[in-house]
Amino acid sequence: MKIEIMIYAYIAICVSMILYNIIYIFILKHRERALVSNSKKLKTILNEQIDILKKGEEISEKHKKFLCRELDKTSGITAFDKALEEVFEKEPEFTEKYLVYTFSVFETLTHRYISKDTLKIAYFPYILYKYNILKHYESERLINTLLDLLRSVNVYCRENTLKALYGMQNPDVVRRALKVIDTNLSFHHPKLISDGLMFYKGDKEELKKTLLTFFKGYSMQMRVNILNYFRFAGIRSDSEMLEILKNEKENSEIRFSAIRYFEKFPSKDAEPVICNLAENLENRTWEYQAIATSALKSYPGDMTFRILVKNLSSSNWHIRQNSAISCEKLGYTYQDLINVFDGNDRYAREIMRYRLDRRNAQEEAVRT
Amino acid sequence: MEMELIKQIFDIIGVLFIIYLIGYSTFLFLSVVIGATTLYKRKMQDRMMNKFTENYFVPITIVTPAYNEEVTVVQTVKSLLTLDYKLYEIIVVDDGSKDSTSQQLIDAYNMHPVRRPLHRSIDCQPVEFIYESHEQKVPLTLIRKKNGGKADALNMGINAAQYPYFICMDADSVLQYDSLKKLVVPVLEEENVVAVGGTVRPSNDVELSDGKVVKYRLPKNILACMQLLEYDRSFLASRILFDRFNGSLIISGAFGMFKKETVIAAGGYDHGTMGEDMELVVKLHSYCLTNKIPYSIKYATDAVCWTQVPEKLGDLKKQRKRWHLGLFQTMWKHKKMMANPKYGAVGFISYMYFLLYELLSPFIEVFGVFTMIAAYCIDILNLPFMLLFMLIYASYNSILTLTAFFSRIQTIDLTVKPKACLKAIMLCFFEVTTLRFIMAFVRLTAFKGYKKKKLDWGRIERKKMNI
Repeated sequence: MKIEIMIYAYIAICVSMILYNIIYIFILKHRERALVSNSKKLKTILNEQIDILKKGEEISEKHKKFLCRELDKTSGITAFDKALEEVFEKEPEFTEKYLVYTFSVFETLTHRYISKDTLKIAYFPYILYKYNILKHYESERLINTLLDLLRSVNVYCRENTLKALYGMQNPDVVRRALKVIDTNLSFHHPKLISDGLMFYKGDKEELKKTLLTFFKGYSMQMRVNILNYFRFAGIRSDSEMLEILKNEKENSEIRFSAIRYFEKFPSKDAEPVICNLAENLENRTWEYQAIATSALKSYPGDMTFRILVKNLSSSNWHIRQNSAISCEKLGYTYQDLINVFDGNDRYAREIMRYRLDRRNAQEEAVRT
Repeated sequence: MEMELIKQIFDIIGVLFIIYLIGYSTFLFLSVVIGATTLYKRKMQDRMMNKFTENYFVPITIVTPAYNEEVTVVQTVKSLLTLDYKLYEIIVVDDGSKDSTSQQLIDAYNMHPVRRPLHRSIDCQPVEFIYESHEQKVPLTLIRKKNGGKADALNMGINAAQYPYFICMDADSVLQYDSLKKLVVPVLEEENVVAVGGTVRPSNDVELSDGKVVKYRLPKNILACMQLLEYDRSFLASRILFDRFNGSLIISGAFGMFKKETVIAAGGYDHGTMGEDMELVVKLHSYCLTNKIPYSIKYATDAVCWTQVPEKLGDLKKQRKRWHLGLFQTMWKHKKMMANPKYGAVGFISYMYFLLYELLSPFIEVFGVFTMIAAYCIDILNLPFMLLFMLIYASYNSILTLTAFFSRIQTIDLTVKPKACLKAIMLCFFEVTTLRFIMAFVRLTAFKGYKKKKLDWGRIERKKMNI
């Protein structure tokens, strides 16, 4: 290869990179300006439509067609969001009414968006979720299309769609949505499910009943997510949880979730099971003992005291630590634990002393 | 006849250099273009609501190793306490400082001594004392231990960490207020993420308040400004490109997040290397690939950590020597990965890149300079042509560096004045033509006194930051 060719290649790349920089700066600036101007125009149009609604008239088909065209474009949907946000702030009641009247537009667009580029697909369900557009509608065709969106490889599309579906406040839709996520090959982080379900604003008891009815049809991970959601949201389901807790054949992760549930919601019926799990390792893994020991902080009593003191001398660090934390939370004093402090187990003494000192320091900090 | 032979030797060297230069320029071009495209795509993703609009908190422990950091440590912790994140704890590990690092923290945060037993999953030097504070929004722990080096201090932090992920950061750095939220995004997006690297940006002359940039400007100091351009190039270039095929070999010690369980299983930070940050990442690759554990190491382009870069040439030289030694130690320790099919793209692309264009580059570059001088002396060098070639090559490098710089500026919504842009344009040429060669000579001498410096913290002058 002649060296001159290389020099020309370098020069060509230099020139193209300079052009790339200039063009990109220009595009960014233009895009920003276009967004402001588009949203301004749309805001005027939306205000006109709100005025029409205020007069008791209906939204015209012409406007719906215009809206459909606008929202089909990337620039249009971003400008619409910006404009609607401002209009919603001033006129929440009529904006909601406007969204009810234009629902058919969103229904049409849902079907169009499903075939869009994965990068662009997430915005539409975000709009549905943000303005709670699906709240008053239950179109089976629309639900099916949204459930299809849950199969997207784009995690944000799935996330926004799930939130939009939660907005329907229909337990059966949530059940189906979770099933789609569960069978989908794309990874969806458990936290996004268990924490995300907190956005469901419908009847939580109904949701619990529906999810428990179909509980066995879900994968192990999804079942754990659902149980964690119950715990986070404070949804009581003692009898079902007790059944899981007692079932030795049940998957460990699911039983761990049940133990944690009974830590948050103490139950007399669960107490002997938890005490047994905390005390006896039997054929189980150490995690059972560690989690049950932690749960004992919600079960004050002689039996608990005896198990916790015993577990303070466990050879497993986590069990020992959880035992000390439970002793601390249950308010045991140095006097109560005198046998531990006078005993031969240095590890038990050290961890317990640390936890009690820590509690004292925290109380002191609150006082001052 | 002899002259002919010499000419032939010079010709061969010339061809090898051309191949080397083509290799580097192709890499630089690809990485800058891919890096810039990725950043713009990320911006577009944000615009199209491809982001988590609600908060999901993965519990994180921030481990800050400190050695003689009395000037900055209180401010660092102050900035950590303002982070926009709910579920985290802070552990400062004082590695036997000779100054008042611990005392500064104890006084500033009203900390009290505790006799806390630690679960020593990884071996490290013994604890001298532990202090805790429960008056802050998150738990704050100070562990003072016997001196053992940065890696040892980090291992101590891992042992004390309560949460499943830990962040290592330098005591002279400031995390941007939203950095934790951004850093956990790859964990929520993908399965099996064992480490996430953040972006490190020079904070010299940047005004920060509660972790937010109040006023962004280029450093007044020329050396610091050139490093800013260099950081942009390297973060944009190699890290995003390597991220594409899960081949990142470096997560900066100034800011990175790791899955505690995997790091403990892999053996934690290595005490015997100065480049403990790189060594850990290479070790994670090696551990996961050897044990056939599915994993990914990601790079969060928008999780930002602000750090002071050296403003004196002496400090910069010390830092670069240390980095180069660390690189050598890591590459040597994991030499089995070199072009080894068992390690896939990591062994073939990442390892080979670091070997040829990072570890050996100072030798090759300095050899190149001497070859040119020798060729000129025996009158076989076409000097005007050579100068033209070097000029074009330097311009090429400068333009790609500027592309990296502007891509970063445009995509993180920072604004710089036209005067600052002009400064960047002028300095990037100077950085490519001068600083780069000075650093090549510096790195060449890194091995002098190697044994003595093995566990040195590598001090540079600290200044209080504008936070």
